[in-house]
Amino acid sequence: MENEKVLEVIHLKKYYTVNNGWFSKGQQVKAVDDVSFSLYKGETLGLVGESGCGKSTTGRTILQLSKPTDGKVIFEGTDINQLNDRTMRQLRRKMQMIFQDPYASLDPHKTIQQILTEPLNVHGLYNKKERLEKVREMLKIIGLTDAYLTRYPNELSGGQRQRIAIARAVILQPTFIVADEPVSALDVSVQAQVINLLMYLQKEFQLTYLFISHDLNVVRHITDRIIVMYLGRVVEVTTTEELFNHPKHPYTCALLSAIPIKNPDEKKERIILSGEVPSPVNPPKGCPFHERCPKAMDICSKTVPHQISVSDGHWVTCHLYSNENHTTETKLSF
Amino acid sequence: MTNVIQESDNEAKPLPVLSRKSHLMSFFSDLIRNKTGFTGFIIVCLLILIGIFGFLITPYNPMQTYMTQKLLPPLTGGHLLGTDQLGRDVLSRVIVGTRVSLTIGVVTVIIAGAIGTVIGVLAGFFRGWLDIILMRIVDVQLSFPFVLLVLVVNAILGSGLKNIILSLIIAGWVVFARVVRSEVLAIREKEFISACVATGVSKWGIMVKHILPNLFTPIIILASLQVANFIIAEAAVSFLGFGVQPPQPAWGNMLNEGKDYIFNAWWLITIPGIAIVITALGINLFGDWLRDELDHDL
Repeated sequence: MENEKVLEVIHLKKYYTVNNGWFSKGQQVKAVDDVSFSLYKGETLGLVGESGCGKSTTGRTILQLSKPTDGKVIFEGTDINQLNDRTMRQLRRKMQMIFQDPYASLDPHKTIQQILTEPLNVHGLYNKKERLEKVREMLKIIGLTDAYLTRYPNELSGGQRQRIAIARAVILQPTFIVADEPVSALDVSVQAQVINLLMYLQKEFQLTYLFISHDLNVVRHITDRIIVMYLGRVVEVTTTEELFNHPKHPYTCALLSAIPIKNPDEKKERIILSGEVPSPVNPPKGCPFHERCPKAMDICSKTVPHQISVSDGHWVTCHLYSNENHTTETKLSF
Repeated sequence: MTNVIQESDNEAKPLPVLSRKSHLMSFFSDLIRNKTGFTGFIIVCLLILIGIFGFLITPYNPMQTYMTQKLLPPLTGGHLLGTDQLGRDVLSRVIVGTRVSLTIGVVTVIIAGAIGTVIGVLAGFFRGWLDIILMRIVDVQLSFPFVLLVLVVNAILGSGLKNIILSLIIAGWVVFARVVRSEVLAIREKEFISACVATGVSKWGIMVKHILPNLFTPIIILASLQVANFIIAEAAVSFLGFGVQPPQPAWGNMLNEGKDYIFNAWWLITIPGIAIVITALGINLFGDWLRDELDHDL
């Protein structure tokens, strides 16, 4: 994993302003609050958390589908927030996205051929004949026949549509793909197929994935490292192995204990969190998790914890670990 | 987990490859199978044929007056649909009036629709001050009754076919702009537009290649309704004495002239009225079917 950084996200923030009426002052929703991480070439980084924690917003903001409020996104050495429209569009060839809902992410008035050719047209790659060749090749890789070229998305099943959406992202041969819950809208049987396709494509084209998901089983299967998010903040970062075997943050522990087990006779200690996820409009003071945390201490409600390294490449944002080990409050260098 | 993962590609059944020609064939075979759509299609085709070649089949000269044969009821004196107060053959006048009414309906809808679509797309896509300015203009126009606006504009421009078309366009584009704008607002939030942005499609590319085709369905529906509306509006304006001037026959001014005889010559207003109803019905039926056929969302 010690190879080059493809993407570096530094103090990324995305705040939305909520207006309640004409005369009330707008309140801010901190959808993504100070998120920093790096992505290395060829790895799959998982981004997990319950719904509403800012996973998808993080993904969309990285790709500039919504403008970040603050922070930097550095892709292959360039700060993409600073780019103008034109250069950004050219750069998009190298960073693609797979969306959650394949029923919404394909233009219903375009045939499969038009959908798959468009990225090549937009970036002016190859000539007309080569484009069609490329599209056919791609269809073959995702396991569909040429007969689908003239079909419309509504004639395809969910799994087929998602494979088309994946093909659209991969046809440009990008270096980096944000996969925003690519399988959560699909049947379990089809999920496996799509996950396998994603893993095959990663090997074939040396792709780097940011894999956003709430399904921990899927994440465990596909990712190398995992970021756990809670209320717009990064809670824990480590390798998949480490996370599932030695989770540190109380939230991660609770999350992992919620994974259903296969053997019904097996007993498993379940950590049930009390209360609801606090509203991001009005997050709790101090650590955003302290109100629900089974191990909360006094300090938790007062100061916001910093990211602490507990072992090599394992970072936790929790006061529990601030005395253990030697605290290194570097937020950027992981 | 791992044992769940296995290749299951039973979804991908081989499909016949459809060529462009067979798409057109299936389009027509669908049309023939659908009764209402086909009825509408036949009515529209007949109207277009009558509009173009109608003057060849008129039994009498529509302008020729026969004062001795005035106000004959239908089926008397060799006049299938009777004669008017000047002894002119009503059937011939309705046939010739088809061209005027259809021209007005179709030409206005095409031009007003095009203007309204462009303005609606710009307002809905770019939002901001452009949207605010354009939509306030639309609001101001919509606050006047449609026919009143047509009348005012027509009074300024003067009567005649060209001017009635022009005034209908000036009064009619706002409806298209409003509807198109709201559709654009809905479409631009859809995920496939985000997907286009992520792919790197430019703003104009998104507007022309992705938003416009998705507007086709609502525009077709609105246009088919508006053709009928414009024909009726022209009839109303002509009925009030503006618009198409006599002796040139149009359904609207036939209604206008017939109203004075409403108690002793019912056919004078009934027959052009029926012509308007049939036209509106035919266009709506065909438009409805066209919408269902072209809608790939279903």
